[in-house]
Amino acid sequence: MSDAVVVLVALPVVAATVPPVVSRRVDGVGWPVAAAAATAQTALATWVGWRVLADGPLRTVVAGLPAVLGIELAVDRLSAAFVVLVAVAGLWGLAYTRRGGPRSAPGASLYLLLLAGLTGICVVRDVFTLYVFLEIAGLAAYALVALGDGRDAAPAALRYLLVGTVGASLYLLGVGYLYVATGALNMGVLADRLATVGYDDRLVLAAFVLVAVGLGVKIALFPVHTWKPDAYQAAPPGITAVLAALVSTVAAYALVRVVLAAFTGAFLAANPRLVAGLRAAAVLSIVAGALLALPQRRVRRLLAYSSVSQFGIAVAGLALGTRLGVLGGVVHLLGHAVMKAGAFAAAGTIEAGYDARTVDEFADAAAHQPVASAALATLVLGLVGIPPLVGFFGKWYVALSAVRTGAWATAAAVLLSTALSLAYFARLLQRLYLERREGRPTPAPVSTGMVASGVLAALAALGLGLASAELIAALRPAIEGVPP
Amino acid sequence: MLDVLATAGPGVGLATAGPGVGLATAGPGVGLATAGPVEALADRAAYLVAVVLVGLGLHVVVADRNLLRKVVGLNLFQTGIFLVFVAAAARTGGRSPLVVGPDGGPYADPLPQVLVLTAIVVGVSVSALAAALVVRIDAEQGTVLADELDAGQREVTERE
Amino acid sequence: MSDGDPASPGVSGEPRERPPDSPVVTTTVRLLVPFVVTFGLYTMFHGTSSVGGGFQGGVVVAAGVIAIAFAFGLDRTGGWLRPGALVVLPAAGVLGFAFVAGGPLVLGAAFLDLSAYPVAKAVVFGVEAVELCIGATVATTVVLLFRSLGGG
Repeated sequence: MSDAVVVLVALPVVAATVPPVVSRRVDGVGWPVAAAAATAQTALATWVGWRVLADGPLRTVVAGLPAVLGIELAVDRLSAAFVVLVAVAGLWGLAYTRRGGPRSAPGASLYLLLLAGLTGICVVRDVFTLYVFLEIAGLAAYALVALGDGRDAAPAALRYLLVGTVGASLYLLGVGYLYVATGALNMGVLADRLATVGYDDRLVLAAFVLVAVGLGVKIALFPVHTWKPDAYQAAPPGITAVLAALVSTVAAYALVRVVLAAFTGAFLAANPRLVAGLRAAAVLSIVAGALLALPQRRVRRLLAYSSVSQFGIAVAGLALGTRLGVLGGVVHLLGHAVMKAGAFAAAGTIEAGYDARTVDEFADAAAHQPVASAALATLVLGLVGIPPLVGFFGKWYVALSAVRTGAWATAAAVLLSTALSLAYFARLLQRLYLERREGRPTPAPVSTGMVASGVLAALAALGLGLASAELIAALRPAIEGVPP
Repeated sequence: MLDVLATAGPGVGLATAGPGVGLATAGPGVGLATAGPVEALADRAAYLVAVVLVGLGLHVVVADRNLLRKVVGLNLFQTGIFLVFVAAAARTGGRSPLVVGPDGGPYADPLPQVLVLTAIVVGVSVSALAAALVVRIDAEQGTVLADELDAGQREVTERE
Repeated sequence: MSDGDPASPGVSGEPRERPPDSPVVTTTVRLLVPFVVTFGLYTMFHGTSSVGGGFQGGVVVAAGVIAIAFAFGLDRTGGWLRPGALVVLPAAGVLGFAFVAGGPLVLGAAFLDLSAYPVAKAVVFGVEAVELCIGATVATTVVLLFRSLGGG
């Protein structure tokens, strides 16, 4: 049933056409349509994932053409993990936005188009179609950020748009160079032809750099991360949680996929200095993100800079060029998505229910919002990397692989970021549980869905951590072409 | 679809003929020994223009105060990138890639042209969204100059 | 795409008392617009055998409508357009594409494998249907954008 792959992408698109039309007659149709579509998407994604685990990858080419001419869509174990992540996070985010986020018809359409674009990135095996889906998801994300209430929403969305489009265009230029060099856009065909063209060809090297920089902008690595803190601060809290879970995560998956499937591990092995450069960029992101997080007063910006650091760890795992490193990076991507989304949801609940924006205002939140605070504390500890929460395992495998291959700077950076994250998150925990707050907060109503979403994420972080060995074993066959 | 396949045939053939075929036939692959640097530049004039556009566009995006001009700069930047694609698709003496008869002759590669069409659509959508955002910023804050935006500064000073 | 963009400011405001443009402009536009729209449709249909396609044709049709708006004023032009069409047509275009492309899935072939339809010259007609849908979506979206951004 490889048609299911196409339906995975088509379903949210078709569902997105419904709210604007129906809302002309009926009010409040946005959220139910989105919820129905997200539920169906989750069911389909889970089914596809189960089939892939049982029978192997699902593959189809649009219009039945041969892969070299057509657009190939394929789901292997790596894709399946991210497809399921997108679907589940999409459904989970709606639990938060039932009360706390945008429920308008255009908002629901944009949300579904975001899911469609992200799912498309996860299943496509054609570098240009990846660009198209990258931009679909990007446009939806820019517009969703603009749905925020404050005056900072539109400028933040515009900055995100400008930076993100420059990044995507650089990726597109890299795709163009790849085409000029090989005449192919399909990742499998590219892998064969690049071997013929030669891994030291300047056009190919330039293409790699452009692709890496372009996707690096979407991942928000230092120093092209500048869109992330403003965007996460300005967007509606439910949207911030979903964006934090999915957008940069899927962009990082895209980098892993393009590097492993189109360039292949042989390219990485043939260009050690280029890979060292990528590793250096990742290390810079790890350290800079952590350092920039230290002085942050507003909780959302703190979490955003923490993301910059964490994605550096994931990209460093890829840049180690070993199976263990890549697996560590992928596990870290999945785990971080769950934890960061939950952290934003729990923080958003406290923001609303306790009228708190900065770390100082979070003081004594645990007395007023005990469940949300407990969830936030759990997730924050996971982000630091305390076992058995899932945040530990990704970092551990990346650091382990770094030590084994002699990449001492990477290993040191991972350790340093863990220590720094403990510093800035400990301050938050201290406020939550140990300090009193001055002044009178004016709380807003908080729905069960908002609280529950944080709790669910915390439980998922714990569950994924406990099942991390199985997760790694399940993903291992999908990472090919690199030495162990 | 079959029509597209038929027109894609020669293009694919050309493209699979080897790396950088487009550049080789459009540029001084043969003439390098005899032509000087000026000729080499002239043959690659399209790429030069593309570089200029990309640089200009990026500069405007970063440096201009006016938000709407930043959006225009973004369009310039993207246009430069599209020009790289289209120039790479060109062939010396190439015809437009529409197969009308058995006569051959070099066809310009249709695939980059199609890619650029799609990318133009993406660019239009992005520009439209950006323009809408600028209009909203103007309505909310009364200015479209980047350094005059308060961007939450007042909120920061109130709370800290 | 159905981009009912919430970021754009409200379209409703005081009715704009702007006199229509000079008779030269209005007459020219009135004469030319039918040809422009026809050319747009021609462009939509001939995407596979000459320069053209859905997006290009849609933009040409939208340009015709925008020319009317320039000549006669945005509000009068808005009055001539059916209010629901601008919202429903983009969605209808997307759904049309989904049906044409997803039909082969029901018939057992791959997605967008138009030769699976039991119709003579199915590929040609299928592509033309898809181009029309795309053209409708693009034309109405561009007009909607123009009206939202221009009217605020």
